[in-house]
Amino acid sequence: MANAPERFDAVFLPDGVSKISYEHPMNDPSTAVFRIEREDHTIGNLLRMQLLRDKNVIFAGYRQPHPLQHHIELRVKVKQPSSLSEESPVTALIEAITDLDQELNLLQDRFQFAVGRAQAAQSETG
Amino acid sequence: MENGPSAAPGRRELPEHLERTRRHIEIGATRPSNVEARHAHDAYAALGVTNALDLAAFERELRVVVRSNTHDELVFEMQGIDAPLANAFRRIMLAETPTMAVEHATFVDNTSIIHDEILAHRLGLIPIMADPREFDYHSPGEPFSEHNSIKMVLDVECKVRADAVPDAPASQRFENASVYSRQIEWIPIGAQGDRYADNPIRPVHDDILIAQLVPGQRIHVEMVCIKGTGHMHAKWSPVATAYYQLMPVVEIRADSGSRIVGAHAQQLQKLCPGNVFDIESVPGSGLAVATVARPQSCTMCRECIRDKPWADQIRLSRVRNHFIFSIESTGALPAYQIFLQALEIMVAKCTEVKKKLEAASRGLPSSSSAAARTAQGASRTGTASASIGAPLSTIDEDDDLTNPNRS
Repeated sequence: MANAPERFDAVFLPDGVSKISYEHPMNDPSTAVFRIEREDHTIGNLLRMQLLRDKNVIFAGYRQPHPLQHHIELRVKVKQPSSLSEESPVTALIEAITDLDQELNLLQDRFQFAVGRAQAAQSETG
Repeated sequence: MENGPSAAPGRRELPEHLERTRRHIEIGATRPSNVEARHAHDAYAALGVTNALDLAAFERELRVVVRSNTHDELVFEMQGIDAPLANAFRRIMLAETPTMAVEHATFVDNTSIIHDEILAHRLGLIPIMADPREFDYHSPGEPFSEHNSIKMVLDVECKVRADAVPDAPASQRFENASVYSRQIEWIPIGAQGDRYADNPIRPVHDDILIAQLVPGQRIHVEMVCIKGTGHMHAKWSPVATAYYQLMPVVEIRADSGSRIVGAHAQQLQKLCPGNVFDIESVPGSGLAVATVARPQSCTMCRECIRDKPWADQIRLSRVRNHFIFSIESTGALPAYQIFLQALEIMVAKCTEVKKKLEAASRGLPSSSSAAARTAQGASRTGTASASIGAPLSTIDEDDDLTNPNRS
């Protein structure tokens, strides 16, 4: 077991490594590949879906390069920036996460309400 | 793209047959079809219909209904979300929601027939009744404290009872012939004794069989529980299972020519294991017609459409955005709390990624270690990199972000 990877290595971000970084392949400012550390399909697939719903995004895809590499690569291409829009892959991702955050807040409210109502009904019936 | 006069921007209605493909997954006798969901904003652009995210519509269509709620199991319906979101919840509940579990077992004595390693594994899998939110993660090398660990001892020895009847079964002749989880004793560290006086830390279940002994055998093991997640080892998973299914839909075509009547209706009702169908008589005609009475009991076994003369008259499908979640807790946390925690963990993930990204796009070096610890998955202290063995880079990774053109 001497060369077994540490269990926590898959979960905890080592010091000095940034959670998210990105680069523009082929020097194309409308495309970015984000590298998100210590995340997997849970977030990857979710962000991909959220990005595809964005009108300015023309491509979104993700991959985990290897099961023993604990990061995902998220590739995003947006419409070519025009004088009217300041859209970039970074703003698209920030917006996607903001939308997701709002959905989650709403979901949390609804869920707590539903559970509260179920508990109230339970205590009434006995 | 928006070429017709009816192509109002933001219009969301599709022609009926396309709306059906958007809403339903069809279940055929041999295979499911129309499985892929269409997430792209321009999936229906040719029809002038937008598929883009609309938060107002999301709010309108989102429905959460609890079906049953006990401490150990929660069943609830969530309508209006997409599969990636539902799957993210499931994965976070299974693998990323923390609990406490035995991680270190020190054997003082073990003369039982169970090997140390096997026994240690069994002890690890015992659910511990302790609120993980009140504990910190323990980093390797860090001393165990009242804030990051729980100490427990199991010390049992099997003896012949003084009043034993010679031919009685072993369980009556011997003391401690079976070792149960209730014999694990919690040793409070520091102020833990006062803090958890009302709800002492203990195994969730009293009657988990750990080992069986014969007279003269003894198990004496000291244990340390720490906080962890299912990602590292399944023993830290707070759920026995967490799964979802899509809402089943069973339809019998309504037009009179294709109703299922008479002997066929009888056969259909009989063969369905889920007892989905009823038989109703049509007033005046004396006809017995099969009707769908309990569609939610359908398990999609497809018995009703497999090589049957009426197969064309029945249509089975699932609603793509209607999830029935089942969460079975191991007992350490109430089932509904596990889902709430999963939500919080997801919000924390979003916040962390967003904050770092905003800092990076402004070209500011973000203080990686400070912000990382605010997030759930990274709330460990100390220098993890030293113990992991990764060389401390002299280049601040965040600097790279200020140069978007690096390759």
